[in-house]
Amino acid sequence: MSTETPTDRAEILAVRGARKSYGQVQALESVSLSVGAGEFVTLLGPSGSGKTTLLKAIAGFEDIDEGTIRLGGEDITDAPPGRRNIGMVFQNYALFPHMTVAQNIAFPLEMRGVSRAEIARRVEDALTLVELGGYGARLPRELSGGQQQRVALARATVFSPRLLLLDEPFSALDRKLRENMQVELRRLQQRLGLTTVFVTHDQEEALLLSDRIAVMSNGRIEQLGSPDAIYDNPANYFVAGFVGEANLVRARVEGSGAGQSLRLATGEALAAELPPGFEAGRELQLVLRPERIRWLDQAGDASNSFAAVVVEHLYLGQDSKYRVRLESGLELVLRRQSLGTDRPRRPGQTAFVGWQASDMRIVP
Amino acid sequence: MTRRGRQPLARRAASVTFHAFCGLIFLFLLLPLIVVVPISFSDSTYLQFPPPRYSLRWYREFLGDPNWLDAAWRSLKIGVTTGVMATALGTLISISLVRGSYPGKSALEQFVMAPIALPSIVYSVAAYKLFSTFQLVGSWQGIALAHTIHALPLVVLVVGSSLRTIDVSTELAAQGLGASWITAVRRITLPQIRPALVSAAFIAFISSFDELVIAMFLGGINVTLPKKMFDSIMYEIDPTIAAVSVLQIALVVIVLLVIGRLGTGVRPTA
Repeated sequence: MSTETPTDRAEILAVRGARKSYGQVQALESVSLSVGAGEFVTLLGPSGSGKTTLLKAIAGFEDIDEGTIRLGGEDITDAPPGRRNIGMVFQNYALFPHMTVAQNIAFPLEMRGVSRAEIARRVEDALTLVELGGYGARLPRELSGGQQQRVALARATVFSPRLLLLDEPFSALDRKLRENMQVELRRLQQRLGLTTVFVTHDQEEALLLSDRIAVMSNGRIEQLGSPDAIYDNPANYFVAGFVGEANLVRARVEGSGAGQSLRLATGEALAAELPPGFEAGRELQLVLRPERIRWLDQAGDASNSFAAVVVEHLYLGQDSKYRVRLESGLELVLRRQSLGTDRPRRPGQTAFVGWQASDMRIVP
Repeated sequence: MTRRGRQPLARRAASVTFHAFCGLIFLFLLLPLIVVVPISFSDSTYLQFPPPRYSLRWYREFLGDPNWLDAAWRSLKIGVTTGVMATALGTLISISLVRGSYPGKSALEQFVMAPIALPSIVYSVAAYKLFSTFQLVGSWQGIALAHTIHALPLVVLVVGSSLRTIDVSTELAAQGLGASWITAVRRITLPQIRPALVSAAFIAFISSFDELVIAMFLGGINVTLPKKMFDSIMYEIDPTIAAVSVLQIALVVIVLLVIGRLGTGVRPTA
């Protein structure tokens, strides 16, 4: 699985060995990233993970100490922001409050010396594209948050930049509006074939929008891959815990060859499918997604089955979340569809829970 | 019921007392104006209140006296120069202080603010000593220069606080969209703080226009309007001084109206 470079697309953005420190703090530790034409790549991570620093370095608002950034084959490591031909949507949109919507969108064209008639035409087209036709004469403060967002998007794309950067653009919007804007952004991005780098700390947003996700922490890219690869095969403990929900349990390898199994820190022995090269006694982390655990009618209906007590039930509408406690005291979280075929389970009830060996993932 | 009724009553009594007190203070402050305006329209040769008869005699006196006009013109020239220079310089300093981060920044800030803390007389003596080596004493340019430095803290306060309220990312966005830094400042940052720039310029103008101490030290025979008024009180007291005062007050009121209309004070813009 080669996720380092997008194989089927021409490379547009190439970051190589980018390093940046603020005094003692390493903001970026030798980060490399390659983005293909028309690709939507998300930098996902908690605050302080370096995702925003990387975005700013690409935009030119932050110098890197080491490494190179190339855009369309051209070295832009030391180019000023305005020379990079990159469109950026800021977290708070950064619309010019003293200019009308049309003047805002015209600004990058003006800076490029585009003729007046051409500017008028392209601004009109851009407004139509973001469904704000007729709003050109308004001031930004006269628009709603979602409309301001669209203006920012129009301004960042009207000059056909080689790359679009988005810095947590949806964080200020309420949930419903955010979902609408996410879908709209994705449609617009695909329609215009915009190569996009998107920054967010919201893993659901990242899974929904991206062609590929770069999960970042402590200035490093922990894993780079498609959303399903990140979710189904997390590369390490951090990624497993940060993207999606997971039961993370410490375990130790027992036995050797085909008879290998895992023993949890709490004592349970598990049937597992281990990749070759795991010798007995090795410590590792077990990743078990809540939706992979099932209720069993009786012990032994899955390769791993345990008696458990229901501790908590959280009703989430479409889904229900349960917390169960095994006899050893180990607590696991299950997620089942509310309308599924399961009998309802209440706190205090005993039940059997289980999963197949193939449902588990192992990370260092 | 009684408790309910009593509290607003106590509060109302406090409110009435407070407003009466404030009213008295305002009256006390405005009383000189109430006296000086009628005197300026007096027909008498002496400062007499109430005036026996009314006329425009002392306004004519002022407008017909080349010494007065000369002083007024000089003050206007110095005031405008100060307003323009202090605003230009103070805005650059504000941008540096608000946007920049470099060693010695807080020291620079203290230094720029120093003229506020320094007594005028100390500042004037120091300026006199310094300017005399550059042949700047006795010229209107020298006074304008000293007034400019003296007005810098006011400009930096007004412009700096306004600059802090505007979003720095708009300036970055402009640069990302293809503007140079200079263009971004000119097209994006300065228009957003224009009310503060207008206020700063006029406040600097006023601070210069009615300044006396520096002008006394540095003016020599180049007498400014406040200096001429001071001399007039000392040597030849007659109601011309009242007429000049009224004209000066009128000018300041007009300037304040302009600020109220186009500019902002130190309060941040919403």
